Amino acid sequence: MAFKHYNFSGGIWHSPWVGLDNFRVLFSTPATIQIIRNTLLLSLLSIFVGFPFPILLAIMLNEVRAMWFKRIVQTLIFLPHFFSWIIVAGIIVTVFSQQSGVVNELWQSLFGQSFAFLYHEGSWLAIFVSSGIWKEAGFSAIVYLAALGSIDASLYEAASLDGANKWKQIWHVTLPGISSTVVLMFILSMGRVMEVGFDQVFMLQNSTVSNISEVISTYIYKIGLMGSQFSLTAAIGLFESLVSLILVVITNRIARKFGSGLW
Amino acid sequence: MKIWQRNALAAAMLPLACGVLLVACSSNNGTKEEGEGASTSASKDKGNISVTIYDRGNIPQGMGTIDNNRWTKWLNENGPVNAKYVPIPRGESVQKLNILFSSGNAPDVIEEFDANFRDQLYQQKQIIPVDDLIEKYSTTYKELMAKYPELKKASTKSDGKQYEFGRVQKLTGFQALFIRVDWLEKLGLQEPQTVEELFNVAKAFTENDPDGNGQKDTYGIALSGETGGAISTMFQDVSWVVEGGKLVHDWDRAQAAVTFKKQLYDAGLVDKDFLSDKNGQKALQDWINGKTGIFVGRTIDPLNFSTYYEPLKKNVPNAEVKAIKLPASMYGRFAVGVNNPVQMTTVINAKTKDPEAAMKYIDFMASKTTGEMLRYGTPEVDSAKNANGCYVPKDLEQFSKEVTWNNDFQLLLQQIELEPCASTASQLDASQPLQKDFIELINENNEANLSPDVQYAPITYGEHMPALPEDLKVVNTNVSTIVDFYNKAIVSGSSYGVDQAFADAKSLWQKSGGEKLEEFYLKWYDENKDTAFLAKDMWKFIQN
Amino acid sequence: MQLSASEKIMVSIFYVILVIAGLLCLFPLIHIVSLSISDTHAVASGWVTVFPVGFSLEAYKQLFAGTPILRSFWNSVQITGVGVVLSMIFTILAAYPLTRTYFYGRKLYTFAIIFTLLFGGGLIPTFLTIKSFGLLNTYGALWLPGLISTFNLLVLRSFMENIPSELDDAARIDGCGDWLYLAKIVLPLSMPVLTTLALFYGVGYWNSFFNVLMYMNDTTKYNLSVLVQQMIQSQTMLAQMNSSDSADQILLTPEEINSAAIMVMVLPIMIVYPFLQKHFVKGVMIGAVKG
Repeated sequence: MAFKHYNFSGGIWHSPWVGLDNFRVLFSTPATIQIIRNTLLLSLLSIFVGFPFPILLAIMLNEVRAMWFKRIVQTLIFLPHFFSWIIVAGIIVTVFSQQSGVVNELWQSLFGQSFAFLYHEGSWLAIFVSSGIWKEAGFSAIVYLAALGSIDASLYEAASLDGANKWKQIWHVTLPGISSTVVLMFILSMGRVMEVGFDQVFMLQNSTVSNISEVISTYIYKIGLMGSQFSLTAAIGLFESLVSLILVVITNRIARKFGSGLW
Repeated sequence: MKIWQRNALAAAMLPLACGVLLVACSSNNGTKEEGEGASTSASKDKGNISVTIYDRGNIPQGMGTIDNNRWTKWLNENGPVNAKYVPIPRGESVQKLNILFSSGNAPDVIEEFDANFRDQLYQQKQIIPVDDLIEKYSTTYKELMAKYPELKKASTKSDGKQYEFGRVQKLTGFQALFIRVDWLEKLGLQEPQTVEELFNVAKAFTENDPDGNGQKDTYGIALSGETGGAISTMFQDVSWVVEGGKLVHDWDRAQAAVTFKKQLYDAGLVDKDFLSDKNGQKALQDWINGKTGIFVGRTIDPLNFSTYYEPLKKNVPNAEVKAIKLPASMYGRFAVGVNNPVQMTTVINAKTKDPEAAMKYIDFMASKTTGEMLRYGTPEVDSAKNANGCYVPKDLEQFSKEVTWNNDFQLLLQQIELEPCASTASQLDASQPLQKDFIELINENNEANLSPDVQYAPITYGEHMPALPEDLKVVNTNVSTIVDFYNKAIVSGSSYGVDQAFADAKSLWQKSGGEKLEEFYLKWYDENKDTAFLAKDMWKFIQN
Repeated sequence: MQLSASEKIMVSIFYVILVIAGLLCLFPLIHIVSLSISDTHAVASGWVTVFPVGFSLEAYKQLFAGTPILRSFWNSVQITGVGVVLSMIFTILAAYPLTRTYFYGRKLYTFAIIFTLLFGGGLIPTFLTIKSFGLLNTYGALWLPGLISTFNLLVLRSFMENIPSELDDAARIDGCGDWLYLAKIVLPLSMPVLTTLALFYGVGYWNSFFNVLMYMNDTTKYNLSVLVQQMIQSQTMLAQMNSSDSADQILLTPEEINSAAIMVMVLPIMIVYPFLQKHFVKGVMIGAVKG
């Protein structure tokens, strides 16, 4: 579909073939480079910054003794995954609002003036990434918790017999035990790079930060509003997948050098 | 090793087997008839068609489903055809319809608000021209067209043939510029008639503590949502204007509008977070909490009463509101916003087996008796005549349980034929003091929008602008980001000014191929200005 | 095991951080609960921040009486229940062979699977494919494509690979074939990850929205997610402000009903999850390698 000019009467097989035309239209748009850059920026930033959090959460939960505490916290932190971005964005906007938001009230008492967090690119980016982490870290931690559960407990005993304290145990037993999981998750998230969640960006973006907040998915949405551009969106989809493939292959190569690739 | 060989064989066979399975299944083109549908079958003489119906997920418990309920039964029993209703989710209607069309399964009669989508169907030859159909088989709709020739005007496509059916309403005020009259009185001010006066009033509203609570916590005016839109309208900032008999792209008016908004923002007269207020919710809340002095709401539907007026009075019982005219700017004085008096909604699928039946269905849906039934329910059971001689619900709760949600069956309902009972004001209860106030507001807003000293800002209602060809749609999407420059200029103080924003905007316009858009609209207007449905045609639908 | 002072401090820091994390997630939840039980007028005026203002079960009443929520709830349960069982079976059966090094063509299959992770067919081609299988308007349209999630498959495979090969050797010596090995040894040892995947699949099926809308023609087959999303949709559409359909605003669902609907969606998950947690227990592998 990406290489044809799709229309209903022709269907997929009989619509006229236009080769790379769709791609040409795509890349002639002045904003395209920026949109692609934004997509990569937002998504890579979210991945790299967000990556350690689920791991840390899982390790911390693992060390906690009180069962009831563990269960409550575990349930709580994985809930945000289920809240729709409409609501979360609404909460964020209220919290950071210039006139009545909690954050600005604090800020004002410290600096005397309110700060438009959502209007400046830097702070917007920080809020974007943090909200993404907050929402998903608890859910992703589950995979790591499972991994921790399958580490042989006798390894810990052996380590402590050898005189290792908790720190050393974590470093030498826990981390290596889940290393293959970590690598796997990392490679898989590389495959998702182009997918910067539509809802999150759409709900949080506004005109002032459009330079960094316009991503592929919101752009497709706007094209879609004008009337279905099947071939164009298919072309964009294909392009996204291509980039993902390249990233995954690269990451896998690197991982293999350290002994644990996907294939 | 044997195991090795066996596994190798399995490994090779597996994909092969799957492939064969797939080919076998796909050649069996599932023409799965979806059951006999839920509609009761009537006499065998009736034709059979399928019709789309919006599904909003809001049918009360026990009332059935959107494709099988009291109303579908009534329509099938009393109508000229057996209609099978195909639910289309309202939020994803275009996507679902796309899928249905691409798989060759689309219903016969398509009812869809999105004019771009309908035009796309036309471009792809998925719908049939209906001139002959109307001529040969129609009675009701033909009469309507004779009475309201604009129905034909508004539905004729570029090849000169008619493709769409629609509904006619009288022209009324839609958006309304509300102002807190009690604040005006307290501060000794007059209704603003010009842009400068508007600014001064907003300033006074912000700085002089009109709500008397000793705190500077009020906004003069809102900037997000429809209020922001109305401020643009004040300057006729509508992108395409007629100058010297030609339809051209305007920059000056837009610049005036943005400059004014920036002045409002810099003077602190508006909510600084207006850009994050995506759907105007916060602005609405500020209004009903009595914090904003000037706000744009709506007077098009009885529900607007409980959205814009009732909650305000509950929070601030002494508030007094008036709907005023948009102040005059150097470009003229404009209407705040009106409805679309001739709205196209329906087209017929090119693959229909029984176009005559489709036409008869459309006639039936456009008829007065059907309209009354859908809107008011069964007389004496659901509704009864009130003092005005108009039908109103007998029991509001029962009415919302049984009748209110059938809106989407009314896409061919000719409201204008039901006047004077169809107007919003007649549906409110004048014996209730608050509702009486709102009736007053509706009348004021009609005055503000329809009096002879205001004009309609754009050349025609958005839906009646010509649909863009494929390649221009992309250009249009790209230039739509220009509004980001403007918004940035509004909030960035001295670091990013209006002139800079417009320089950037113009440069983006050029780079994206904006001239092609300009050419298109210029040409369209030249060729069609006498035959297209424009503002002057809209104004024919004023009624009192 | 006696903990030293520094270790005790470290663990208490963990506790503190976890408490903060928990609270950060608790507040929005309370906010939504409050919205759903507050007085309607308070919600419209935007007074509800963290705690409820006024008390009114009106939202829940309207939700249960005014919408087909019970039926969609049941549909969701069906879709999820059957879906999880089917998916787990197929995922296990697919992951295991991929771990056996003697499986001919293993690398090829793996690559093919990863390929599908990255390249999707797009809406229309996928739809046409499902249609040609005759699965339109049946739940099969949800189960078949969702049968094996590549992501989950790879995770499971990775876990299975981590099972020490000494176990495999020991089993073979005892004459144990693949099936028995899978059933008696691999699966019990993989309980944590199996539970995780069951959870992921469960959540996926429970939340499936777009597919249900596109493939189901019968509104009686809609699930809870569709119902809730339809309510929230009206909020998003209003955000576009280009809708000339006045009915779009008329039939806008008030925020408190939205919140009530979200609670109905989230509550079952909140109830089920703690029961699954006991499987994430350390030490399942204990002693497996000894002897």
